[in-house]
Order: sequence, then structure tokens, then C-alpha cells
Amino acid sequence: MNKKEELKEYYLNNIEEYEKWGNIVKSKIEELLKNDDINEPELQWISKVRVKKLESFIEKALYRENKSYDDPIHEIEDYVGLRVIVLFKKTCSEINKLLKRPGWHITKARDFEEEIKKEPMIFDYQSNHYIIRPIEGIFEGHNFSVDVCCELQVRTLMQHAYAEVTHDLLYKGITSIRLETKRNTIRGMALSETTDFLFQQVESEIKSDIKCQSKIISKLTDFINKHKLTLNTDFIALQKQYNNVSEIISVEDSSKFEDFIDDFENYLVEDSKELAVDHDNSAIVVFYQYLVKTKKRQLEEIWSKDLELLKKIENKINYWNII
Amino acid sequence: MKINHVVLHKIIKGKDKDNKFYLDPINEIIKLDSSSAKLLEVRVGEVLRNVTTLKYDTNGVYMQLKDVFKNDYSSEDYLKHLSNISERLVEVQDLRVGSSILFYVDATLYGKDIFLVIKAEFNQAFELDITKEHPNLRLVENSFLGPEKKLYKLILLNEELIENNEVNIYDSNLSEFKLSGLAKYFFSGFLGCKIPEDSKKQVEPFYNYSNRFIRALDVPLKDKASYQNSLITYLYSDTNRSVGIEEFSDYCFGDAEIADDYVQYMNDVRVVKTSIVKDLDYTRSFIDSGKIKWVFDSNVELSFKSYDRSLINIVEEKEDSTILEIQGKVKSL
Repeated sequence: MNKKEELKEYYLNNIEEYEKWGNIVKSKIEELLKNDDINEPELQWISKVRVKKLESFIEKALYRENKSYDDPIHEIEDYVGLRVIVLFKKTCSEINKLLKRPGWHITKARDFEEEIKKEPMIFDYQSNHYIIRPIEGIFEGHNFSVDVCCELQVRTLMQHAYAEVTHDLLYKGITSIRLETKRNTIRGMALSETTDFLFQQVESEIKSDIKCQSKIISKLTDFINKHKLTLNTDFIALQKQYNNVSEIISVEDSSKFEDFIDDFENYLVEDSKELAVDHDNSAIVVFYQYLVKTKKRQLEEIWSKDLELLKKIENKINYWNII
Repeated sequence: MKINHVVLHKIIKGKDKDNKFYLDPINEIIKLDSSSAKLLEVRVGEVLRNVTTLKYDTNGVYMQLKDVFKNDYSSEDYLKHLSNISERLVEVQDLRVGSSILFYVDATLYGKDIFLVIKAEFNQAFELDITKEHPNLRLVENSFLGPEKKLYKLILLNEELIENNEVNIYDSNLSEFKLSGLAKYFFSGFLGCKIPEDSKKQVEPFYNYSNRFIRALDVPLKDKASYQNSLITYLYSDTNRSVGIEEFSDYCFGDAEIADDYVQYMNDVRVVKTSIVKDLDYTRSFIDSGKIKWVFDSNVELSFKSYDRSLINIVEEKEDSTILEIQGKVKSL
């Protein structure tokens, strides 16, 4: 039996077991993601288990120009594979931690963070690759051959886009690539990484803004409840009114607002009810008093409503200063 | 502010040849209706941003006002004391001003007692009739909401101030306020107060902290120099009646964020609580004696008197050089 026939025989005899293992790995990952905090909207997609085709396996084992194998049956590890595609790079790190939980044997075959550290000037294919095997062929009551394995790829949507566009073309040697195309590929990857970076920034900023907003509204509501003020604290309404001025609010304002409430508590209790009369009786006037006290000029620049309320608040604050 | 009651005194300018004033007190304690009280509160609130603190000096009615504030007199005695106080104003009133109306306001602010004396312009054509429907509102409107700013003098007392023999005052004519001229009769002759010595000196920390804020700003040198220039002009000028954080912020910084940060910074360092009455002579001599030093990253230093700041113009800032235009020729090397 020649090498090709030997490979073909191994493939046909074992591929179903590989596929079965791949499906168990997929179910386990789905379970892990479902039960963890990571199961948030940003988690995009888990692929079906992809089984390597016989022709592709033979081509990889015997004819791949850029890589040769002494023992392809054991050295090739992507008989079956699946992918998890996420929105943000930080989710890749979170998944990395999760994958260590099940009682399986896992190795990291590619680590894009490490590759960037080694070659910071290079923009290239980026993805985390893991090889997952049952320990001594046993996993949660299932028995397998000790050779069985599954490749898991975890990457961002932008990294995936780059991989999809370029991987077959550039790395499987289907055709020769012009210099300009190679250059455009690198440009695309640089742009993808930049987009990933910006998306991560955006996500972090949004989360931080939401946290700040929640803290402020929560402090506001606590204050109203503590003093039994009959002001409207409907969360959705407060959120909407907060959003009207969010442009000038920074993260530090949540703690500054807490100090403000503590420092001016008596004044706020006395003035807020009166100020809210012409403003839907909303508790937001307490926060507006903070803004007039600390950011009056910025507030006036973005204020889209009648300035009468701001004038009234300013008038009240002038009294605070003389007592 | 809860207005407990008001007492009104008219000070009428006579029509005889020597134009002497006479007092026309309305000897009763008036309860303002809610609309009038609200209007008065708003009108007073508008000027509180610009109050300054004076110290009791000698003579004047300050001690009598203090007694009225502290003691729980019977209605009769209370009104008698206030009439005596108003009589003093009749005596010292500057003949160049017209008839006026005095509001003595007893109020509670955030649970604390305050006492206000407000002097407003009084139009004799307006018949003061407190018996008709809503007379109070008409009175307050007529006194404070005319086309001109009719609330032109205010005296404010609270517990903390009288403990220190101090008073907060506002004067709509503070541009001329050096405790001389038109204002002298009221705050000095009538009230018996003066600018406290330490108030004069507050200009110095005001300048130093404002300058420190400007120096720390992350803006081009040209903008910093422009802000420094504004600071010196603001303090040096005789058109600004007093020195105040909010007022200077609006005067100097076009950028709303910087303006707000400045107010926040100055309030945090607690340099001044109320506006500072500017003693022009002291302020000018302080500025004239001050120096500004610019140190360039090449270690070249440029030092000049604060007052000469306007003679130096930053034409352009480049990455490794700064082009300056300095008025005057080099005199010595």
C-alpha cells in the first residue's frame, strides 16, 4: 500500500469518530458560553463542525508546498474543526480562559497576541487555534481513540473577514499572487486590526457610559426615596432626560455627583420640588442642578430646551453661596 | 427663600428749592402674596452672584441692623428701629439721586434667618396702594422690573456674617464703586462699613491661582498668553467693578469646558468666596510689580513686567521654534 492509500484508509476508518468528537466539543463550548457571563450580544457565531474532505486531507499531507509532514496522520490535527467568531478581541481572551475548564486536553497551536508581540511590524492572518483532545481517549463517559482531536479557531469578525478573503488564495498556493495583491492584503489586515481596536474602544466607552449613567440615576433615585420627595423617578424617562445632556458628562461625574448630593443635600431637598414643577415633575432636575453648578457654560451650549429652567436653577444656586 | 414679612419705607425727594429728602414710612408689617414673594426672590437671586463682603467700620446703621436681626422686638419697637435706620439714610442721601423705596425683608433661607435691605428706585407717579387687589405684586414689579435695573443696592445679613461684623452687599453701580462718590453715602455713610483689608489682598491669590490654572492648560502657547493678557487686563481695568470667579471666567475663556473647569478649580482651592471689591490702586501696584517669565525648551528665558504683556505678540508656534513680535527696539545687550 502506497502512502496515499495508507492515508486514505486511515481517513475513511476514523473520520466518523473525529466528527463525533468535534460535535461533542461543539456542544461543550456552547454549554460553556451559555452558562458564562460571556454569553452577551457581542458573541456572534459558532460554526458547524467542519470535516476535512478526503482530497483536502491528501493534498495537505502530500502536496502542500509550504509545509511537509514526516507523519501526516498524527501531525495533521484539523481533521475536524469549528470556529467561534466574536466581535471584540477581549472576548477571545475570555474564551481562552473558559476553554480550560472542561476535563479535556487542550493546547494552543496559534496565539495571535503572541505572534504580534514577536513581530509587531507585521500585519498578517490572526486567529487563536486550539487542539482539543479527550484525555486518554475518554471524555464525560465517551470513549475515543487516543489520536482523535479537533481544531478550534477563535477570532474576531474582522480577523475572520481577512481570513476568509485571503486564506485559500494566499496560503494554499492555488495560484501565484501579484505583488500589488499582496500589498493590498496587508493593507486590508492593517485596516482590520485598526477597526478591531476602534470597535474595542467603542465598546469600552459605551459600557463605561452606561455604568456612569446607571450610577447617577441610581444615586438620584436613592436621594429622592431617602427624602420621600414626590418626584418622578421612572427609569426610562430619567434615562431619556439624561441622554439629552450626556454629551458633556464624563465618567468622573458619577462620583462627583455623589459628593454634590452629600454636600448640598439640604438645598436640593428644598429646591428640587419647586424646580421640577415645570419639568414633568421629574427627578432629573436634581442632576441638572449638579450640571448648572459644575458645567453651566457647557450645559448652555448643548441645551435644546427653554433656558428658563437653567435660569431658575442658577438663581437658586446663587442663594446657596450666601448662606 | 421664605419671605416672612416686609416693611416698606419711601424716601421722597422734596420739591422745594433745596431738594431735601423726607421719610414716608408705611408703618405696618406686610405679608407679600406668593407671586410677589417669588418675584422678589428671583430678582434678589439674580444679583447674589455679585455680592461682596464689607466689614463694619464706624458709625452708620450696621449695629442697629444687627440688633434688629438678632432681637425679637415687638412690632411697635421693630418698626420704630427700622424708621430710625431709614432716617439715617435720609440724612446722608446724596442729593444727586432721586426718590427711592427701601424694602426691609425678613426671610428664612434653607432653615436659617436672613435679613435684607433693598434700595430700589421709586417712581412717585406710581401710587403705592396696598389695599387694592394684588397690590404687592404691582409694587414689586414696579420696583424691580422696569426697563432699567431698579434694584440697585442690597444689604444682606445672616448669622455667620454678623458674628464677624460683616455684611454682604450688592451695588448695581459698582463700576464706580471705590467706596467713594455715589456709593460712599450708602455703604460708608449710611451703613458704616468699609472694604476689609484682607479683601484687598485677595486679589493677589486670585491672580496667582488664575495664572496657575492658565499655565497648566493644555492649549497652544498663543492661547495661554491671550488668557494671561485677559487676566491682567481684567484686574487692571477700572471698568470691572469687582473681581469674581464667574465673571472672570465669562470674560476670559471662550471655550465652555475651560471656563467651567476654571470655576471648578477656583472653587476647589477656595481662594475667594464672594466677589472681591477691587481696590484699584492696590491691584495696579501689585500687577505692576509682578513679572512674567517664559522658559523655552532651549532654556532661553524671557522675563518681562506683567503690565508689558500686551507688548509681546506670539506670531507663530512651530515644532522647534516660536516667533515673537516685541514692540520697541533693543536698548542694550
